[in-house]
Amino acid sequence: MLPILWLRFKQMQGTANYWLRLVDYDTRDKDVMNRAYGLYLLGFMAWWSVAMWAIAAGFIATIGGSLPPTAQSAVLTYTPFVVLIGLAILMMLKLQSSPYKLSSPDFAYVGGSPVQRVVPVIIGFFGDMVLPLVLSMVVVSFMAVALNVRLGTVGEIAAALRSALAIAPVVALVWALAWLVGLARMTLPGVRRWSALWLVPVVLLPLPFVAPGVTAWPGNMLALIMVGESADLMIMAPVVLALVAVIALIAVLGDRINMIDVADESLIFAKLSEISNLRWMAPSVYLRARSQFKAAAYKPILRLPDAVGTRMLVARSALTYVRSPLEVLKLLIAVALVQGGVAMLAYGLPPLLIIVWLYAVAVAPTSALIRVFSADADDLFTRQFLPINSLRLLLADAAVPMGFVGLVSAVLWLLQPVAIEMIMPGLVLIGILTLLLVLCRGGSLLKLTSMRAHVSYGVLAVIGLGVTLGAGLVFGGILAAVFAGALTSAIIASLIAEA
Amino acid sequence: MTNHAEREKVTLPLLQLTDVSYTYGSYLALNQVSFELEPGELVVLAGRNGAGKTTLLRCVAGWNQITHGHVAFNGTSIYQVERAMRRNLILIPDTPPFYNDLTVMEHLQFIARVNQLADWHEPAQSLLKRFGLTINHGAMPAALSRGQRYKLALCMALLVDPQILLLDEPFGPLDPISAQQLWNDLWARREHGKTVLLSSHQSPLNVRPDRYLFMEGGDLVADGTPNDLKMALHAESDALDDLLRATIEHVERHDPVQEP
Repeated sequence: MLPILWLRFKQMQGTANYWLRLVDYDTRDKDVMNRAYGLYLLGFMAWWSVAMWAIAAGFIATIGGSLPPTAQSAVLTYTPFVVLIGLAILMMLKLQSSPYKLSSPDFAYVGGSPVQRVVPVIIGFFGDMVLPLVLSMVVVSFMAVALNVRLGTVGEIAAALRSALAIAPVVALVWALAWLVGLARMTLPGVRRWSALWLVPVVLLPLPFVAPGVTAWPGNMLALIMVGESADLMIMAPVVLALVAVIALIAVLGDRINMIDVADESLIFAKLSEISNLRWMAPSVYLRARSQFKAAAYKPILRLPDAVGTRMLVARSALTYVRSPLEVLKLLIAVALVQGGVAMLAYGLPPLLIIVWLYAVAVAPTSALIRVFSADADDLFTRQFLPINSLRLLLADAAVPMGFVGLVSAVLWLLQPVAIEMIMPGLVLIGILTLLLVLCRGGSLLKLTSMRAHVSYGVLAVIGLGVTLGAGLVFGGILAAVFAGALTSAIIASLIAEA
Repeated sequence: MTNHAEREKVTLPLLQLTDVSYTYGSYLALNQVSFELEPGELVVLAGRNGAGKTTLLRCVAGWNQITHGHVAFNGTSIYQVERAMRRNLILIPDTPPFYNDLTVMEHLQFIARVNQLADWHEPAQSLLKRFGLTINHGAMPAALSRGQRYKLALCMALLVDPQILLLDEPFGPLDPISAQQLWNDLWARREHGKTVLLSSHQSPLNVRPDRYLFMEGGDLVADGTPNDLKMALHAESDALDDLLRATIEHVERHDPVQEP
């Protein structure tokens, strides 16, 4: 076990060195001044993290003060579903290829070594879980602040700490269950090749209606702590016990996997880990490389329909989403954003929430909306075969995802208990917000205006969607947002048409 | 007046570059390059690494916006007719990208149908066969070798049948047999009145284009038929490497900037 731990420590150190060198700190330099600078960096980062959290928490507490009284019951109701949906999605991902992956050096030094397989598997499990664990702890601490404003500052901080601690075993359990099914697949050679196996976790989704007590249990415990109905972290003890049991099962299955199979399913991971720093430094290059590596091993399903002209563009777009079903799942993020925007106006939510919503719009990964257009617009070689202007190309390429987002959002809107005279303006606003998301995403890929300037998606989205929602908030109605949104869409569309 | 305009139209070159310059930041990559291409010409653009060949091809194709000068296709600036002329002026870069979600055959089907080509299937099959890609027609381009990817790009371009075909280093990724085959295909296009401009350091054995354009340091330093250039430069032969060597020596001898 020790050699593997040492190897992973050295790899982590190598990654840390890369990032520390960017701030002029060299871990190999044993000079006193260098070490002092390292301590200063450590202190600064600790102070900066706490200060940023405090500022964000203060802002969120202001929003929390304006939340309707129904917010707490909504958290109690929906948290178990969110946990279960997260589990289903994660299981789908872990069933697509081995959850334990080998990098290129690992092929030789771990896969080919006589070490017990359980050791690298368990270390790999914890390594895979760290980043999502930290992120979920931060997010849930903010949510706890917003939900516990009534307790005052000290009470808010205590609730935030409790919630952060409470979510740790929940996230770990979700990750462990996903790893468990992924490893189970690896130990069953006959099952491993089933191409549709990754869809099986969908059966989890109706379970809350069949056995609500069991399936909703970890999420319920977490929700109780988040809303402050329980201050006793011991209610999470059964979750921790379940986690320990699942990790024990991971150890058992981890020792039975075949490293040749793991290596076979790690090829793309190994290539990507060689350029992993690009993920943060140049995400678009990283994503392109990733999609190319994946495409090489892809077995195409269905055939390209025979259509002509613009209809062929739409048909190709539809085929792309059929062949990449995970992209369709990612479109649900856009659905959530559109729903959030419409809900803000329909339910008169606190105006300050527009800042949170715009921030979410700017940073949320909604590029699945323009997956096909980005392939067309990014590469001049393929673009030269498409003899239409950029606006027509964008609308044709994004017609399918726009239709999906619009349709799902419309259904969700119709299911909500809103006044009958609000239904139609709400539907129109859904259409406009969906269109604006697409136009902002598409526009960010092109050189706009006669200056041939690149305008980032964040800037376009904050201006385009901010004006739309802002008009609705200022003039107090969905109709104002509809007019502002239509005007903004027309302006951005004309810029794209001339790009 | 009408006769005069018609006469002018008839005498217009297919592609005309006038004093084209291009800069990357402060680096002058192209310096006032001027030349013309006529229908039915096969022209090879040659020069040392960094001479500006790729930049020139990208400017001709409208991929790079020139900083000075004029590029005209049939007498009209390419920036005014950019979309309309896309089908008539196609550039294949040295490492062409493809769609990750479409197979080899679907690439051909897609571009044919978007460009509203009616009878595309037979020519597409024929192109795949000629370039040895029939067996790969259901594969994803990412699974192909570099040479096969270049051949797929050639199939796409030839299916659309542009008036001018621009090729960047086409022989680099190809095996000698495929390179010879490609040269024959390009020569056949020339016979049908189509124009080809390709950049290359190498060419198949014993073949000669209609013209060579030699570049050095962003300047177009020589433009002529193989025989004319051989005479003017006192080269050993009219083969590409001999003419290139003679051109570079000539430039270094006569260029006042290079003199000590």
